[in-house]
Amino acid sequence: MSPKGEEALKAFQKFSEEFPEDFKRFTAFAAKPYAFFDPKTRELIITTILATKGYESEFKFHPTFFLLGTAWDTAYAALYLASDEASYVTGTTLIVDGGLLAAGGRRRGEEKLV
Amino acid sequence: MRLDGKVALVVGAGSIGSGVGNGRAISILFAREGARVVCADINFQSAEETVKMIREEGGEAAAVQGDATKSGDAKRLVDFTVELYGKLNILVNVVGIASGLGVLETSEDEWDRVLTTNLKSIFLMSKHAVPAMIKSGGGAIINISSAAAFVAHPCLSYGTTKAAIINMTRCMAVDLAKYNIRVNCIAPGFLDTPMVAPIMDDTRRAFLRQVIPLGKIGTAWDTAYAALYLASDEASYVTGTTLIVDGGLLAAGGRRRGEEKLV
Repeated sequence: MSPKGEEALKAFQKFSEEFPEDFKRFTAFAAKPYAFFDPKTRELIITTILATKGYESEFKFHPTFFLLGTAWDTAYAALYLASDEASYVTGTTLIVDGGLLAAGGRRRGEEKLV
Repeated sequence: MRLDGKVALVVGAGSIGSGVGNGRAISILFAREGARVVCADINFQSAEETVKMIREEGGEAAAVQGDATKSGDAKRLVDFTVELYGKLNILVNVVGIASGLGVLETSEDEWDRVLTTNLKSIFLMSKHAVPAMIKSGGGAIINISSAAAFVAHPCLSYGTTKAAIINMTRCMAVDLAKYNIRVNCIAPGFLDTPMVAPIMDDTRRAFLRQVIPLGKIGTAWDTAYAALYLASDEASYVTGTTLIVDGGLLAAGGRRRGEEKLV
């Protein structure tokens, strides 16, 4: 395992110790990047773990975790813009941000504006 | 294929006349990419025509009649889809009209009719489709706005609603992100579609080729390919945004093709 992978795994293990109930079902795999806020250090930890097969959606929508985009998201947008499918598209900007700009500072799951 | 295993509901999947409008092109392209498509339209025959075109290519589709501005119909379209194909992954809101001109020339009836058709249809379809999408594990909603959302449009009600659709898209995107539902919008510029056929002639086409930087007038297929990207998992990190498909018209800001100077 790469040093980065080890670091991610350690972060995940540390987190699962603190919240054992939530993570009983999950095992660590190197896959998509997820992120969570470490409640003790208040740091944003980016990690590469994926739920055990069958529990992906549970994991994906866990309020503590959020899925980050990857370079592949940019790549697919570039593929569309480069292809003839976009032959009537020019001079525009395709935003690939998971809805961050649309949210205008609202946090995930927050219903109220202020 | 890019939409393998997905079920799509295209509202406004027919076309005015026998040509290919945005809804028809989107339906055909989605089916080509492996989706099972429910083609809904207020005009059943027109929806059936789209389905016929899909089946001739070996695709899977079904036609259904419904008025997306009526809550009962909107719910029925969603129920029809789920009963037939077992789930709902993609909703495309294509329904839209323009009526009247400026504030002085627009009647109150026209104003109400355009706002109801262009905005309420999206609200009602989304309202009824979202629970089905949640049950399906998430999904994608695509709304059709227009380049008319960004600049003044001679038809006040049209310009108003098309701008509103962009922020409806943002609001729903942020609201529904927690359900893994992405909401995006396409803003097409001038397209050679059946909807604008009555006002398109050779003089106008020649003029448009001068003002559109790419020197051509787009077709419904340009909208359809944008919708395909936004509906597919390729756009799984894209939500709350508007994709402009206008041949560079808005970027040019009134400069004609080939003009180097601003004035």
